[in-house]
Amino acid sequence: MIEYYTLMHRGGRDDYLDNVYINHGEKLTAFLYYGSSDRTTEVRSNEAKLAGAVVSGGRGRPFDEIASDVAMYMGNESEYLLIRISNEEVMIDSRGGVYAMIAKKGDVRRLPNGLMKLDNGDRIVCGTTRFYKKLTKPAIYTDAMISFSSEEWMDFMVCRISEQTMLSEGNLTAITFIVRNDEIRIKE
Amino acid sequence: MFDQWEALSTELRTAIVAALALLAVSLFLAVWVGYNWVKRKKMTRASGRKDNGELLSAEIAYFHEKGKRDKQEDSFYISPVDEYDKNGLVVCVSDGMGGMRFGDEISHDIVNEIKGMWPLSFFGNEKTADDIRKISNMICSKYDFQGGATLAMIHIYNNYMNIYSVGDSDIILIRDGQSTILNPRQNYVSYLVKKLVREGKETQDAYINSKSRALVDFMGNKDPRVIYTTEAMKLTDGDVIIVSSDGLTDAIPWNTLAKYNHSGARKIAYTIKQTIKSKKIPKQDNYTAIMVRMSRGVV
Repeated sequence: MIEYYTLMHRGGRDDYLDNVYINHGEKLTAFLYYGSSDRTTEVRSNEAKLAGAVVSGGRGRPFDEIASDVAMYMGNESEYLLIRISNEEVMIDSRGGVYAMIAKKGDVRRLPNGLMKLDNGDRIVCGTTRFYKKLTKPAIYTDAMISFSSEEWMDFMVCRISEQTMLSEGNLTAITFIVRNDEIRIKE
Repeated sequence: MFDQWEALSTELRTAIVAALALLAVSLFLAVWVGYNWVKRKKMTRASGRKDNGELLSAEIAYFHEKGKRDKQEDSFYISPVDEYDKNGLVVCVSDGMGGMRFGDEISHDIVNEIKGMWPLSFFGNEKTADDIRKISNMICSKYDFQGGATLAMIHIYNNYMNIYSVGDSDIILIRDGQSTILNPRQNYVSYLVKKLVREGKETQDAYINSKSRALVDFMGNKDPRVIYTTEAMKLTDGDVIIVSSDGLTDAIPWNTLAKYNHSGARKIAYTIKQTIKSKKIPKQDNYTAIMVRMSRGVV
């Protein structure tokens, strides 16, 4: 089972220009669009919606197919992250200022595009560069390791950002994931 | 058999004895190397680290100063440094809650209990957290909410660190020119921020609330939430960890502490202490801090 929690906050702006689309299949697929990026020259919400529709309707489709369809809809300047995660592995395709980090074995590392094996208890956060801006790696790691849930992990990180910005410096978008394959199964 | 041995030339007999002795020594060395390899592998697996074969040394310094308060309500503990290789290092600071009775006694009781727990199992972090909760419950029974204290504690072992925290004392890591408070403060601000975020609002109101610094959990509370790391953090050469009461971060903003990262723990402690003194803050709280500087080299 993949436990996750999503943050979508306007961050003191009139509009929320980022977006998150999630497909709850056997493997969870999420698309995180960074529409509020300072590098974005024009709002491409329509493209993001189309790409989001690909993700939302992409249950059972191979990750590579979804990734190439999403890339087809998104402009070259668009910044986004596509992730598919299960108990065993994670696949990532990210462009621009959205990326994933994994908290594991004492450290936090940025996940490259491609496939990586996962273990029970692994914790992954995907976010925009604005979300990460006020967070250090030790902060992300400790918050991950003291949290009971993906929601609490997000709360701890948001509290840190809040202390420095009052959440008034633009849209904040992120997702936290925890791999939980130690569910207790009751034998009938 | 003996006759056959006697029949051999002296040179041959010497050569056979030497060969047997060499074989015995080789066997002993092989067993010894194998044993140590397995032992090291087990330790590496247990700590979850890839072994680079080097244990970082920990240099420790501290200050324990009374501010403008009537009593010194901070207490601290540093585990025996000569056991660093074997059991690691535990340091903690407990800050008695001001304005309440027994703050000094309670913080003293807490560090004494922690001292009594030494040596702690590094991998039994859940049990340690549970033991800390029991200390809090014991204080709750003894003082019946007429006082309380915070607790900030670290356990360093084999280049890894676990943290434990109840209340709002600080565990600060200085690394790569940046300082980070590792433990979240269990005060009302956290609750207000969470509420405002859920409502999609900005969070200025959380910080201007008159009760924002009130603790929502503390030692002396019944069954407090003990914050602790379920998986230890890896430490690196040059890391500085400061465990302190909030008298330090009230006087010096935590995000400026990285500039005090000098080459030695003593110098860091001295500079920070002098900076606080020189500020002459009229209502300066008591301030206690333990600095641990990790570096390559001999302990």
